[in-house]
Amino acid sequence: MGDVAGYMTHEHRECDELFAKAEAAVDAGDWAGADEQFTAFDNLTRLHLRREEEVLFPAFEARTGMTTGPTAMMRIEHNQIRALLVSMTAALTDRDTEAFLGEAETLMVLTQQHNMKEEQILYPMTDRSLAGDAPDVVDQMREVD
Amino acid sequence: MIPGSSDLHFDRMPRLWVPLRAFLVAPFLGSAGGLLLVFAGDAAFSSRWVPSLLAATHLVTLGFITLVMLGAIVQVLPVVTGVSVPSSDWVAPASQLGVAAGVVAMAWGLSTGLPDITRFGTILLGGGLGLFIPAALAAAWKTRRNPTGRAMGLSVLSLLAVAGLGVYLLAGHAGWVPLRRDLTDIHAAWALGGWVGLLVMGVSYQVVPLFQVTPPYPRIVQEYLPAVGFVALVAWTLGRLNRWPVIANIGIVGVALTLGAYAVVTLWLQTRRRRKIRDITTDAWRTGMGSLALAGLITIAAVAGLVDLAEPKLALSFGIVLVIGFAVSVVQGMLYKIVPFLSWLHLQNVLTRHNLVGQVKIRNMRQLLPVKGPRRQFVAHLIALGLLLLAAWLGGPWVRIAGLALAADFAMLGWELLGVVRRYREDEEQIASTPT
Repeated sequence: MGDVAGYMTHEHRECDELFAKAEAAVDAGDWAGADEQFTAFDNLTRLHLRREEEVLFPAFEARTGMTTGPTAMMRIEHNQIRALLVSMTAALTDRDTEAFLGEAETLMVLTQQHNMKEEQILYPMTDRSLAGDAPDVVDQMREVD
Repeated sequence: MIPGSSDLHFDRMPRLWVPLRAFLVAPFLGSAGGLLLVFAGDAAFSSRWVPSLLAATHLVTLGFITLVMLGAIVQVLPVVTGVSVPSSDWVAPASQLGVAAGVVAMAWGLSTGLPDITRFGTILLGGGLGLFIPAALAAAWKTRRNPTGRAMGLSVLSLLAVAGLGVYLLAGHAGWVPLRRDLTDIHAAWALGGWVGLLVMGVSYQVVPLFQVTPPYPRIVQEYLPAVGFVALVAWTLGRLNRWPVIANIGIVGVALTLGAYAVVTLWLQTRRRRKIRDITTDAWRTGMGSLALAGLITIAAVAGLVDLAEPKLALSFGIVLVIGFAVSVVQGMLYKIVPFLSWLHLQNVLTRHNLVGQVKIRNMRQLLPVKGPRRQFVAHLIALGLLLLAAWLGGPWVRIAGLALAADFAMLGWELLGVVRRYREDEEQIASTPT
């Protein structure tokens, strides 16, 4: 696996773990645990999206000249992910289990099909197009906060 | 251009109705299969060669399982591998229409003994699958480096064998060529072990770890299992056709071990899932994998001489475990994810087109498909499975009762999916009537 693919795929899995914990806590009625796990999930997910939008996608677009293709599609899906994070936060504040689980299920499916496209196609393409510069791009992504 | 960039078709997801039409019609074709058993009664289970049983079986295998899988390939392939099925805008609807209309004509012709209708069905089925297979193979070839794409390619190659043998057998029933019943087992093994088995395998390499947050399938399982299963099917077929019993036995044990190992690995991964939410899809997949492992055991027991699969009651039960217990369960579980998600995704697109993202609240997946209905339907599915097995051994009135249960099982599934579409429409109208 290339540098970008390795780093970003690993972060996808970290997000999945946090998501599963938050969802399980809500399902079990453990609201304190849910607050903690969801906040961690929300923060890491938003950070991950920023790493892509601020560093990875511009690098990809600069190398390939493709500005309206895959990265545009990914940005649209990022906004859909953020909208669901907002709904989940609201449901969590309201302590509304059913609303939270419904938004969570939707986010899960949306995110996973999004991740598949990134992991199977976009990251490998980015690694190929960046070639020797991939480690630098990973370093720049690490610095996003 | 950089390598691979021509494969990028993120934005070329087929329009909502292309796969959805297939997903909505399919349960009612399966339901018709159940009703056919109700009309035929005990006679349908008296031997595996009874035309009404053949008709009912194909309403389920072609009308439900295959029709859904045709829709799913068109939908899933671009997401998982970034490659779309070529010309899917017209190939997909045309092939779905050919298969749906063809299986109805086939079932009608066989169960009423009208060879002209059977011939018409043969042509429609041959045409529908004949359109789909080359397009899907072309797409799979481009994704051969990806384990899921490879498994899908082998699965579609199997479908080619299934369709070729099936059309030939059907031509026999229609009186065009001599009926070669000895080819039936080969047709059925490629259908369930190859077409359905390998496709489910390939898709699950992606969906099980991601959606249930389990560890990935072991590398060796992903890389080699589909190919080993395919080669074992080829070996068994050659052994069968040339009367080489040793090769045939090695081949069929290979098929049973491959699919059985896949089922056991999947069940094992599910015990290690970190996403603890219990949903109907997980339950349906467990039922499916348990049935697949059981079918593998029965196959191996038969080769070892412990049981006799030529015994009609056991043969019937074996078919029921594979078709209803394994394939139908897995496909039902998949539909409960894919239909509400596609509907949600397309509502998002409608919102984007109307510039109303964040302004109009649309239903989430669990509001599009509340969990209660599918739960009831899944219980009905388990009851239908149990009654069919009972009917295989007891016959008599149990066949009609089991047929009715199967018809109800599928009708309830269809009703749930239609409910998603009804709610989708409501949200769509709400968006359209909101001033921008």
